[in-house]
Amino acid sequence: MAEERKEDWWKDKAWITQYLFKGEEPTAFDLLGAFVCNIVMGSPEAILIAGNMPPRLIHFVVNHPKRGSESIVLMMTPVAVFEGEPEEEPDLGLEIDYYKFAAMLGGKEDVMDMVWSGEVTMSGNTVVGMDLKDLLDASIGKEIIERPAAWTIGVP
Amino acid sequence: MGEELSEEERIKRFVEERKKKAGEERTKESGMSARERDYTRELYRASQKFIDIEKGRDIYQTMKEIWGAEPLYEVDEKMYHRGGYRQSIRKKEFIDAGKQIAIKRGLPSYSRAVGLPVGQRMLEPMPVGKWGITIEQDDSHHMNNTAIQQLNDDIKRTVIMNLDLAHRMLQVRVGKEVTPETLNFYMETLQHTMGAGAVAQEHMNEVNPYLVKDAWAKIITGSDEIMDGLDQRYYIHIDELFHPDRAKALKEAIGDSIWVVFRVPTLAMRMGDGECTGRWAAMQNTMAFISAYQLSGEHVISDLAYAFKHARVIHMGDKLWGSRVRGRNEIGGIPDGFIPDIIQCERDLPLMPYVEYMTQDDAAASKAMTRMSEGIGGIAAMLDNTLWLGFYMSGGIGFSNTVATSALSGGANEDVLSEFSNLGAKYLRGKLIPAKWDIMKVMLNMVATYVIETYEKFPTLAELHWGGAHKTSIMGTVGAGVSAMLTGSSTMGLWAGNYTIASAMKEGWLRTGWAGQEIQDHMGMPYLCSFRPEEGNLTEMHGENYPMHSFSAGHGNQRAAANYGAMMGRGSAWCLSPVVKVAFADPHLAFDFRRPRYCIAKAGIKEFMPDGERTAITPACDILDRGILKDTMKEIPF
Amino acid sequence: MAEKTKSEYVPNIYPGKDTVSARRKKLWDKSRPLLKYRSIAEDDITQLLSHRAVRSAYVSVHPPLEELIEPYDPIKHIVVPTPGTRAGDRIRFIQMSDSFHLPSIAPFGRQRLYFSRFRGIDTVVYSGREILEMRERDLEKATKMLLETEIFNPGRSALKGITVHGHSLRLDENGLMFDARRRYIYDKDSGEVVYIKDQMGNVLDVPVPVGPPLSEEDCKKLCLTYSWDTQPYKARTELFEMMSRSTKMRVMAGFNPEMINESM
Repeated sequence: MAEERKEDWWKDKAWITQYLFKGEEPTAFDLLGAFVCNIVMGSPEAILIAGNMPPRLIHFVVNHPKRGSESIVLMMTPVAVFEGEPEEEPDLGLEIDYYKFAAMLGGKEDVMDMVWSGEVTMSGNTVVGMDLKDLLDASIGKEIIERPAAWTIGVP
Repeated sequence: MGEELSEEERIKRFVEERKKKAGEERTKESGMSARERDYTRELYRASQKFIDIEKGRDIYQTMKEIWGAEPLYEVDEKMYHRGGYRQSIRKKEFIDAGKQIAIKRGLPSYSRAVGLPVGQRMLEPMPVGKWGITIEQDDSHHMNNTAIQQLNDDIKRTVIMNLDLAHRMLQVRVGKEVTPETLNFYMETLQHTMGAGAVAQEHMNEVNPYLVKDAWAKIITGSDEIMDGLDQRYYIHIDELFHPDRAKALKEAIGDSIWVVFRVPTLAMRMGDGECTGRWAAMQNTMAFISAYQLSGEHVISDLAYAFKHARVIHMGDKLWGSRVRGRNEIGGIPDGFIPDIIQCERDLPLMPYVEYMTQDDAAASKAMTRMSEGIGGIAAMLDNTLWLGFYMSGGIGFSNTVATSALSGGANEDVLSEFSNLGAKYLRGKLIPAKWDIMKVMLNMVATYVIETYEKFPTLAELHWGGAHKTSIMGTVGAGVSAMLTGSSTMGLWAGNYTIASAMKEGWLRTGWAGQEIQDHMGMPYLCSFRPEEGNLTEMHGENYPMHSFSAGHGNQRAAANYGAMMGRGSAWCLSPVVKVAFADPHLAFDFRRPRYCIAKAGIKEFMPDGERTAITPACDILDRGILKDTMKEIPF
Repeated sequence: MAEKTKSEYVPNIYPGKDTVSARRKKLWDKSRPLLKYRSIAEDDITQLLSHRAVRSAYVSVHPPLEELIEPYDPIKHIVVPTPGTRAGDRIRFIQMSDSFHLPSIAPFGRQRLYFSRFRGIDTVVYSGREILEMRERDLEKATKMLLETEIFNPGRSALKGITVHGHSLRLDENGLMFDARRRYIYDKDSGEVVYIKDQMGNVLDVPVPVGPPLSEEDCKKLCLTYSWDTQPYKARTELFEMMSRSTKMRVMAGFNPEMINESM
């Protein structure tokens, strides 16, 4: 995560710069958009996993130390990202620091580990958190944890 | 040239622009929010796809076995058509017995002619544990079940005394030597005096040894040197009874101290009450000292008696408060932390925190969870629901008994917890969860909703656990047990257990049971988790006589699960007292505190032999002959 | 008395945006009328309650309030007595039980509904039952509402004055909730649920039909509890957030209310 705190950190990240102009530090929305377009879409495993999930609505509240908090929504199956509060009740709410968010999307931090350490506040359906972890893991080519039958991929 | 902006203003403007843009996009994409609404309806369809997974669960098989019907089906077509009470062998026996008794004594007895007709629904069999033993619900009534009685008796007839002070008195004030030989001689004498055998006075009333064959005393010490000097029969073999790591930890904690655990005869304790235990043991112990060490009626005797009665004694239960007054050693006074020490189910498992079990393999983690369920279901549920609430407090028929039996049969706990162990192994990878609510609730909500969904999907399980109290006792155990095991904190366990029943279950179904109500569970929350005087106490020091606590059928399991779970979560060898932990490992006890449900099941099929029987002094006669005997007595003139 | 200023605060009543939450918001909001599904004659209600003979006079436990000379009490000027109180009626009860399987109302749902819509009540909530105690004539009026509106599903809600057990059991062959006293049966000819006994289980002279049981589809539509096959409970993020917060506040701030803040 230290990497993400450096000045102009995003300029070295191909997955971000391919999607964005380099001038301004990207917003969380930009990051999520870049992640979906450049990483998820590029990974057949991630697409396969996302395809097996029921519809999911994840609400991120990303806190930037200077810009304040930003609200973004990730919808899965099919994937969509938009800014603002969701109109419907989200399946999962995550409150996360901006730089941790960037590290998580970059594959440097594990979302569930951050939950257990208290760095991420998670509320809602924990199964969706596991779905998100699988999606993140699959997109960076990490092996997916085989889930117990009760909470297997696709279970609401 | 563009205007010069400060860093802060630049960021502010950037954020505003982005928000405006996002708002515009949202209005354009109205199709998106329509889909947001749609997606919630997809969830049921998604659930349906996984219904086969439910059929692979252990609980599916158990329900099929119990009900002889499709466990997931909501309708019982045979309802009202099962022949009433006649569907139960036990009820038919009761009817017969009731008739016979009525004829013999000339006074009506048990009769199904009064009250409502029972057996309109199915009177289902209860397979207990995994031993292939099936009992009927009536068999688990504490009056019908000798093992539950013996569980009660074996705790109430136990008292533990420390000998260090007594030995010091002997050495310093009387000038006697205490050696392994004298200790062995004292222990031999004690086995005699514990059964009320006379030692110092001649021509005393003594007791038929057959009546007191369950009276004995054994030494507990952590010192190998002391044990080496003792006769093997007179001490509890910690090394043989516990896993080596646990034995080491227990011996370290007990150290060189010498404790003696006394088992007062079941019959004596039953004739009086738990309070008699301490008196009997102190008296008989003092007599053994007098005899073994040749003491006179000197002042040392009164000091010895004081040490054994008050200063150096551990009673299993404290005195209760005025309105529910009982002496010591009664069920209501047992501190919650003693219950995990009384339970022995984990004693052969390696000593490590539960999360480390999960890293080893699924089987090890599931085993630890199963042991917790065994202890909670077989001992804690019996003590709290069946004995304290159902017997001491309510009396008579056993609704609380049925609540306790929900922990005996059905396997809901085990099923859910083994699935959970599998999950924890994968997602926690050996790390304890910090005892913080915002973190714990992530896992807790998942497990609680899983149990809730299990009841919704299995109407048969809902029927087996037919009252709200049954369900709260199961859910409280799961919630408290899981949280305590993952954090090692009994306070977090208690918090989580209460949340599970008083919030999660209640808001989901809009119903709870005895437990989970506003008065106890909402108002009681700050008391449960506070440590400040006048507000709360260490969770392990709570008990039935703790003010503002949540007390009802459904809470007992939960409180015990919080303490026992935390003990296993921390990887401790004992909960509140290492001496109590060792005391209940005693293999001479009739009730096996390591396999409580097995004992209860065996008693259900009349294969458990309890202590404290009076057959040595009663006439050999048929159970119905009392009336006849009384008639013969009449013929004898005064 | 000065005219009341209208508060701008609109109670949210219940968290969540799903259909079950919407049902809860509706039932517990006294400003929203309940839909009437059926009509039950007043005499039939008197019979079902079994507290007095049909059309007999109400038993009084005290003279009408108008005739009582009571010490001055300002509260009595503020609280308008209910008709039953004014007349000095006895306090009697109705006890109802609701099935575990897709019920249109459940015990805590009843409690909250009773508190928001009725006056002069005492109610006890429990896992399988809910008792409502009121002055007799007020009770009869309340019962009418309880039996005639959308909250009553004749198949899965029942009057059970005694022997309430059965809410958690599977349904019988006609889809009715179990009743060990068999107070109600399904009349195959009329397709209605018919009470053949009153709430205490005494046989009625004339059976009382209470309408057909709701279809499975209607049950799902009117269900007041979250369920895996209606609205899965685990997806109720807002509700979980609320429960979690209230629990945390109770524990952390129960003895220290000054700790409560927005971030809790």
